[in-house]
Amino acid sequence: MIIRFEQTQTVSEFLDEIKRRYGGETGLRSHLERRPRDVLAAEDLEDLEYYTAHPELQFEKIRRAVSVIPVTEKALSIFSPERLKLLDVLSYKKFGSIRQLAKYLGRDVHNVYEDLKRFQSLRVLEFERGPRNSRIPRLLAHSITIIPRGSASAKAVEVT
Amino acid sequence: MPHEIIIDSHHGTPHIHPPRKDGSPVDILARSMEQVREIVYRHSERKQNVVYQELLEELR
Repeated sequence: MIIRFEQTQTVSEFLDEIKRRYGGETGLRSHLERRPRDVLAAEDLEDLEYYTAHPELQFEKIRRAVSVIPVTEKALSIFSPERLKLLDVLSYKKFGSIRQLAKYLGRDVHNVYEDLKRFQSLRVLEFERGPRNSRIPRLLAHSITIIPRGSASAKAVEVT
Repeated sequence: MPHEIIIDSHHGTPHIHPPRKDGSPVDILARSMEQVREIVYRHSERKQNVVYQELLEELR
């Protein structure tokens, strides 16, 4: 089985995301000076430089994906009813903080935070800084696909 | 043993994420996800574990 989280965005949305995540090009360069081995940030910079030099591509679509290959059954726990509900709620409702989200879900804030961090590590969502240093969860993934072993669709889902 | 292997293709080239966030993602050879999945499954069945450095070599 492969669990695939996919995000489709335009180049201009990607550039906005870079601004949010790193504070723009200067912030991204400082981030890389502090963490030179961050491959993804290095490639973010490469993409940023390319797309900044090609403004005619701003409406071009970029498709990005994270694929999870479960090795043990515990990996499937990302699809617990609570976590699915969390993703569903974030897909149609915005919250000012994790506490607000937890209250809406009727769950403990620490458990919700742990779930959000798990999805953040998969780049399924990200945190934006809100008032008084609060963290605002924002869903990035537009689709979640489960591809069973032996499925022909896995052949079509190229990682390149 | 890690519960899952994470591969991302955020920048075209696929990357494997080290289990337990132990380091940065590493480039792997571009191939279909089905091939990546089979390499991971064969590795974990053979080793009864995931030996990250060895898996990395198999995916490069």
